[in-house]
Amino acid sequence: MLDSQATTSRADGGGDASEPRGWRMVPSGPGLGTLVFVAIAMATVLAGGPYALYTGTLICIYAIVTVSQEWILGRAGLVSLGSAAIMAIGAYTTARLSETSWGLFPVPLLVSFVFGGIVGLLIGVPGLRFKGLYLMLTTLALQFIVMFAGQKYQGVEHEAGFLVTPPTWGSLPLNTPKALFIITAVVLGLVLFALSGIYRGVPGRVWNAMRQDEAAASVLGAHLVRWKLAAFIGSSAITAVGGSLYAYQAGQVSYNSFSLELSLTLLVMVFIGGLGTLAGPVIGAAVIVLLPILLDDLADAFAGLPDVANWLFINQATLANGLYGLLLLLVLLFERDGIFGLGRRLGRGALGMGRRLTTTRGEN
Amino acid sequence: MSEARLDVAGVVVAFGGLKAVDDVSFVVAPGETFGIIGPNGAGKTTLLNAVSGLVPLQQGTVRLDGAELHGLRPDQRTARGVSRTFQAAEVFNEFRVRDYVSLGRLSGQRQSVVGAALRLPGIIRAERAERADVERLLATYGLSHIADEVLRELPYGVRKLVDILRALFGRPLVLLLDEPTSGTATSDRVALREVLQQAGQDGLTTVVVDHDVQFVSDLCDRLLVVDFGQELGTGAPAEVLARADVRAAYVGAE
Repeated sequence: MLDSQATTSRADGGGDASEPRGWRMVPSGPGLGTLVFVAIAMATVLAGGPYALYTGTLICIYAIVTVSQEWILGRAGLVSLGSAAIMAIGAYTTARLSETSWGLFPVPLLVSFVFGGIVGLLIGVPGLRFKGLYLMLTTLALQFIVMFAGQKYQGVEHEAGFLVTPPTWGSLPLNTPKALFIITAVVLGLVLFALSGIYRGVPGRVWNAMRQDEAAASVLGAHLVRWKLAAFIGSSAITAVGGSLYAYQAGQVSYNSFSLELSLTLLVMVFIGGLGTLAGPVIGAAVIVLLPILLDDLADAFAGLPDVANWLFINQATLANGLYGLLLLLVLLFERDGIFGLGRRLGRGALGMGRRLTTTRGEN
Repeated sequence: MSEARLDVAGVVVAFGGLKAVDDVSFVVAPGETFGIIGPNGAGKTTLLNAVSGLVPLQQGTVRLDGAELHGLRPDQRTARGVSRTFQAAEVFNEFRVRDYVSLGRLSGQRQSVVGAALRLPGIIRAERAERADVERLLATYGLSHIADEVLRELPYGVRKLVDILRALFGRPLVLLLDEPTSGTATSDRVALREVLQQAGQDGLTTVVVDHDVQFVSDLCDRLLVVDFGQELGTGAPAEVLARADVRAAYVGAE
């Protein structure tokens, strides 16, 4: 699933350094990316403790969102600032449905998917008629509107947020760490499967062309507005599913979990992970989740120096933001393909070096 | 003029106060290869842009097989059978040759995002059939060996050729060629001319804009000469090029 553009190991082993960036469509069976994804998921299910499962669940949820955001950012070349707002729509939908007869899992997930798509349509139609900047502004407006409406909706009665009735199948609880992880991993797997099919087919090629040159792409025969709208609707639907899963995982939904800051963090993570691949945004999501945990561990490691540990603990959020910024800067300056691109290049370099070593040995 | 494939009448394109194309008319018959020449800045490319819908007309009409194209977006014109190549071969540098060529048939393709996501058998089958067609087209022109190459890594002339094949792949009614020889080597021009001559013999209607007068006059049945956005004349290549005003327009320009 991850393989389509991501690993695209060429038939010849392709280690050449002049190879262009991403966006390649080589149809293939299950590739390296799929195997890595399944292996990590299986290992987490079988061997992971509650904390690993919890972390894994969060990574899957954020990955669903970052992968869908990469669809509009990396493929259609549009900037959206409203991903958190669309997550909120999925989360509210799920919280409110969970206590009704529509609450049977996965009905709220599917309803969130549809609602996300509808919101994408409503925001996309005015936003996409014009150039990219307008979508950015309409999604920013959506972000503010959802924050405001969410706060009013919760009112005084639900000031801390709406509780999510835990999902069950008959007597089988679905909100155990293991069940939640399996659910989120399966949903992420389905999303990756669907997107890799889209990207390697005609639609992927059309977005690729549009990103390279819009006017020329329309001469090739692409109805620009329709294609942008398709990307935005699809990505919004998936982002709302991410929000729905977030609601199940958190057990409570409040507007302040879906701030503009989250939208920006997600956007930055897509960049840091790497555009043009499916693996990139998944890595970006892992960074969002793991960086604060690593900073926590760092604070623990300095337990012998209470002042340092204390400072690290107090400034954790600031530090994480600072590191995001630094990473973004490094990516923009040195490695346009993000962490994934860097890893791929290092891997190829190692492969090439290995090959050179073996061939030299052969010649001697 | 009812039998005209492409009928461009009284076209005016202005950018601000500057008239890039000022009242130009020409008619291309089905199967004809028609050339537009003129010094740099004469408005040749703008004329093509007007036909493919990239710039709005201030005045005039563009008709394809008698049907007015006014108000149609570029992609709608492509769907009607107006295909074109790009002056700059680096526009779509990131594509592999086979993927780029397949985009030539974008208008006729089933463009289902959901179908691609679910890998519906119909979509997969169509994709596979199209892949085979691309393969065949590349084989016809002896380019099978570069099918997996990325355009940016190919010589400029080859990229131009691939762009033409992409346009031909859509089986257009009219092919507009925007400076096919610019940036190419002499050897590339020979190959380009062969491809275009073959297409002409196969009955394709072609409009060629180029500044290589020799290339255009060898290839075309008739020529239109433009200068400062205005027509200087239309006619058989030898006849047009012999005219004093045409020669004057080119003095110092070539």
